[in-house]
Amino acid sequence: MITIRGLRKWFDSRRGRVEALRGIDLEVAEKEFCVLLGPSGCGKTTTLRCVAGLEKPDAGELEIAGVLASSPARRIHIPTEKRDIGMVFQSYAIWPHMNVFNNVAFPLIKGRKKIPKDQISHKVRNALKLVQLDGLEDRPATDLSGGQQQRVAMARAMVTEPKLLLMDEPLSNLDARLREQMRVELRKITKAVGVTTLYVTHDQAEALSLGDKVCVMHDGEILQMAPPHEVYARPANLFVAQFVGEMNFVKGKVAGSAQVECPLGTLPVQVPSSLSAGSSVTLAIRPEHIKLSAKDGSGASLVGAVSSKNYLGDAALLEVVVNGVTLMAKLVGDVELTVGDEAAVELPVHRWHVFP
Amino acid sequence: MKSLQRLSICFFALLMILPATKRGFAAPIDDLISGAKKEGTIEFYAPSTLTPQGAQALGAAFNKKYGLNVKLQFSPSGNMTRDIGKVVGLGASGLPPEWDLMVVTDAHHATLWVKKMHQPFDYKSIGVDPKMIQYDNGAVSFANQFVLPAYNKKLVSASDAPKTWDDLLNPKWKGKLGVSSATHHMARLAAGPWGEEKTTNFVKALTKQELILGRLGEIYNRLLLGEIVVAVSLSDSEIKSEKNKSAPVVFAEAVSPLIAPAYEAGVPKNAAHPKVAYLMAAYLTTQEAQKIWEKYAGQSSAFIPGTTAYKYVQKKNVVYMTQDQAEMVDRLSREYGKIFGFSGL
Amino acid sequence: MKAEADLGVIGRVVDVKAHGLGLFSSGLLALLILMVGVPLVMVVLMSLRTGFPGEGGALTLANFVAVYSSPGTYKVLLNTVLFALGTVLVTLVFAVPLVWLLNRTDLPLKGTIYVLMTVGILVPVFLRTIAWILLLSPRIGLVNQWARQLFGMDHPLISLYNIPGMAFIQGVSFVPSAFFMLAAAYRTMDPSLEEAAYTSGVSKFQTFLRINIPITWPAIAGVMVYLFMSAIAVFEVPAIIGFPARILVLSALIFTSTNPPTGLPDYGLAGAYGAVMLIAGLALAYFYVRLVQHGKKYTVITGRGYRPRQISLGRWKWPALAFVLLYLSMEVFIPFLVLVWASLLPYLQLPTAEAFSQISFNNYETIFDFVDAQPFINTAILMLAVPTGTMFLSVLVSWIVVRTQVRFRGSLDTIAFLPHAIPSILLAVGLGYLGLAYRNFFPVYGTIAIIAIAHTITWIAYGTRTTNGVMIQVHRELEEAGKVAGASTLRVLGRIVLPLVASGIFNSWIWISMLSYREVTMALTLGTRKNLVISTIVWQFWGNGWVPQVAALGVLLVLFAVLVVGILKIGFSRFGGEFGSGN
Repeated sequence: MITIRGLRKWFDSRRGRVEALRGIDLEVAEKEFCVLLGPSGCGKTTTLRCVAGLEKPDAGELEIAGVLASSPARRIHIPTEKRDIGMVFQSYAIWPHMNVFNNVAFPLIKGRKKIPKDQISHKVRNALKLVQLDGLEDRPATDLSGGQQQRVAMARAMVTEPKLLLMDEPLSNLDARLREQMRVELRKITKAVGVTTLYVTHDQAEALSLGDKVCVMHDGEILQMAPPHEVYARPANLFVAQFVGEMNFVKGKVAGSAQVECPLGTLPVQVPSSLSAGSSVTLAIRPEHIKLSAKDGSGASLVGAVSSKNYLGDAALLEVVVNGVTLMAKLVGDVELTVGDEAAVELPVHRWHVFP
Repeated sequence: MKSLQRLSICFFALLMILPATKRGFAAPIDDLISGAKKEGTIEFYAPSTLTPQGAQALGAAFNKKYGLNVKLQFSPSGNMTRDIGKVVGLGASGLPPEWDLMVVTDAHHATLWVKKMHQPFDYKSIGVDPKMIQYDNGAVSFANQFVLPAYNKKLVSASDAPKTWDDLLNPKWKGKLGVSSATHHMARLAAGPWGEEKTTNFVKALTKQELILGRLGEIYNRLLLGEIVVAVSLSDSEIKSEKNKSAPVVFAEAVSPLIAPAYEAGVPKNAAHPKVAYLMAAYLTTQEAQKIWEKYAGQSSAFIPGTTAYKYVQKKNVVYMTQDQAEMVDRLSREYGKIFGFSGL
Repeated sequence: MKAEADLGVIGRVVDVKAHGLGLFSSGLLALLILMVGVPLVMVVLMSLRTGFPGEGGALTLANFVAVYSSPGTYKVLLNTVLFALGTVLVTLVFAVPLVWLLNRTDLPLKGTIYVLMTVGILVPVFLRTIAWILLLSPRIGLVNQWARQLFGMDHPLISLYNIPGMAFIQGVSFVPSAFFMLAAAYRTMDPSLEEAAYTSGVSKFQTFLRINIPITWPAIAGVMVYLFMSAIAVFEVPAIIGFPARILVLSALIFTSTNPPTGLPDYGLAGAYGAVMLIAGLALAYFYVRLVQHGKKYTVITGRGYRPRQISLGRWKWPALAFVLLYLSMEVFIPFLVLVWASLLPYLQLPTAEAFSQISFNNYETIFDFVDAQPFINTAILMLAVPTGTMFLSVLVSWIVVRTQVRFRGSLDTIAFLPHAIPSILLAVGLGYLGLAYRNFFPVYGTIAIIAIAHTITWIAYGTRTTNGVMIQVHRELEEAGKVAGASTLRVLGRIVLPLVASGIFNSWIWISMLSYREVTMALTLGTRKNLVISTIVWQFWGNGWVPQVAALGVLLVLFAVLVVGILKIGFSRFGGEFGSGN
């Protein structure tokens, strides 16, 4: 559905040239839910806006549904209003002078796919039903809560049944509980309708739960593009590792093809062949893979002192200091360890990641 | 012998008295001069056509003549009617006026006179020609404007130009005639030789000419541009000034009578520096001052022999305003303003 | 012990802070009531007296009877309304597209256009009107002459001397004012509202009609109200174009009653005429306040993602530029050309071979024979003090009116708007009288200060229109966000709201500075030798028919202003970052 090749965009300001996109290559298949994930300033919103046509790329090519939508080299740029898209903005951008019905109906009345009058009402009601706002047609836009506005925005974006749905951090203005609810709703709705979705967020939990494919972006580049579980379990580099999910980092040195020396000891960890002995590496392990238990007399595993404990109800986060290194461990449920206790720390070898 | 003694006593007595009487004759002006020395400043209000330069020249010559060192502060006129209004307003509130000497038109002084806002002075006693003293010693008339119909000589030949006031009613001027808001020009004719009835009929007849209305400066510029070809009345301030010498606007010299509004100098009541002011007022009637005034402001007095104005009015039928005409002039100015269409009532 | 005492003080201060807002607002309200109410009362009193200010006398309705029993008065009122409506229409036809083009699109040369618009105001109004006379006068107008030659017509193609003609010229001259008032609102409108329309497939034109205009409607309506009030009171254009055709408007009547050829100004009559304006002003102010409240619902900025994106015009760039060029020609180029033309001649004339032979720089060389340095200094003082004072007060008022819940904020806004309903000449007379009567306590009469005060009172109405328009668009959440983070109300104003609105305020500052420069009526009424300003000098020159001299002065002033405004704009955009409108 979307093909992006070598997309570049820069901004010239008084302080010089700022490169927002340094060559983005991306393919989104039909009906796929693709998430652009990254910290602010990484270029995810710029990419989305290029797809929408609200920004003009400076180099590269963008194809939507097989049609070349943007190509600076060939001086092609199809304006936004001619692209078959729907977009949900971070601020929702609900038109304050209209009521809910008219907000959703406007694209059908004045948009590129004009619908005969008698069908409009039907389509609008369907869209509102989809987002569970039926009954609120006559409410003035200014009387809506944040969550309701967000849903109106969704209904409006989808009422034209576009080929492509674009969403720019639509949940970030909602409170935590609503956000989680809407996350579930969103996935249900887009899957039900079967629309190709490009979704931008800085929240990695959102990305993992919503996307068929997650693109982690940083500083204008895509660092990793893979299904959620792969991004989580096999982060491609250090940045992805620390951005997606929680991670413990330990600095070390390569001692052999399967040996890394670090303050925790010499660990029998698989080392990528590109790294020679003596090179510095960063070891990483997820908190949930660290096992803690009461210290027994076996002496086989590492020992650490519990320095803090955060009880979360369904899990417990404990900080242990092992050989001067502070590690964060996440355990299911509760554990009998408290602050000050000595614990046996188990670090499964196959759970370590090694990054140059 | 005895008669010789008596004669010599008389002679000596006379010798002693004569200087005394001479001093007595000189006393008013000397008193003014010494008073002026003490006051040291004069707030001088005059038409802006005088220009700051002209005012300075006047002040310098004035100081030189009387051996003074008076600082002359020139206030150019913004709007004489309004400024006279300020003087009246201040006076009514019991506050002193802003100016010591005001050079405004005779009509404006009439307002001051009616409201008793003049500080009169016996100008005759310091040598001013009584013909030039107005408003019960309130003001000294020292310069005259001249008002006549005017035309653009590029668009109207001398033979076609109006020869009398009534010529203005000729239908050939329809839609090409301009009249200014200075309707007191007509009112002076009414208060003077024509009388009210004749003038009012004249004014009403004029309105059938589809007049172009405007303020004086505008009428002059429209005449210059050719939008109108004849102005019902313009004053020589525009026409004869140095700056506009080459402009094609000229008076219809044949028209009679010639209207001559006057510039008069008067001291408002409770002025801060009256002595300088009286002296200056009188000074303005001297030949020297006349030359300076004419050089910068363009006018001189029709009553002082030898001046340009004096020569100009010879053998002409001239209309001057006297103080008993003041009230009629005021009333008719407003009425003619209404008739022409300048005001709504 | 000391610590406890400190806590006690802080405790009390915190207590006061809650009341502080109310107290501050009350103080501001009182100040405004004083500034506006006192001259207003003077004007009303004046209209009820038949004597001269200061003479006292019984209160009477004689003036009103005289004015309103005359049929001529009603014709004049009708003319005035038609003229004002036409003016507003013309202004909006140019101003609204101009605002959109300059603020939301990628139109080239914006900085230059902006400077030129600001500077057009410096061409004295009468000279601008003369330019139009030279073009469209039925007899001598160049356009008509050419039409006659080309098409052999015996009657003029277009005549200037009618109400549409007056409305056109006046409307064009109001565009910069309207532009700045509207631009403030536009600049802070959330661009994603438009983008949401584009992504919905709506064309740019339909977006402008159906999204842009309805949302900015409160701001537009406010501007219309303001312009209408201005058009009722304005004098120059109706005098130069209306008088010749014997079309009188209200301002002309006020003028003739305060400027009779002889005798004393009749302020009582003027006050009676002015009463119409006052009543209209009050009515319009009421509607305006209602509009503002309605507009508050359209608060549309959120803190995140705010950066006005430019709409690219593509091929439409050329028609847009042509439109802007057309407007600038009418407002700036043609009048300036006429100014230059007039300044090079010994006297005003149409362009002919003979005229060209008389060109010289004489008038420039002799300017300082007619005027010395003091008026320039006084004008400079005005141009700095008045906009600063006005914008300062306006920001305070707008903030309370739009952003707080203080109970009487509606009254505050209305009172700030009221001076616009009072004819400036009457306001000046009232102030002048006050200044005179109390000169022992407030020695401002006759100084530049009293003119500055008069100007400030007059333009708080304008200032608040701009700052209101801007504040309406700032979302409440912004300030609450700041409050939650612990910032005090003052800090919030200073650090969050002000930078956002800085651009709008800056533009208004410049505009008020220009207005102050060229304001004539009040400066003349309150003028004395000591507080002469350039506009009074220009008026005197014009009254004496010294058109070439005043033209030379005008040319120099315009060039000087272009320089100053250009420097200021560059300096501000460099200093203020993205918020400079030069973009």
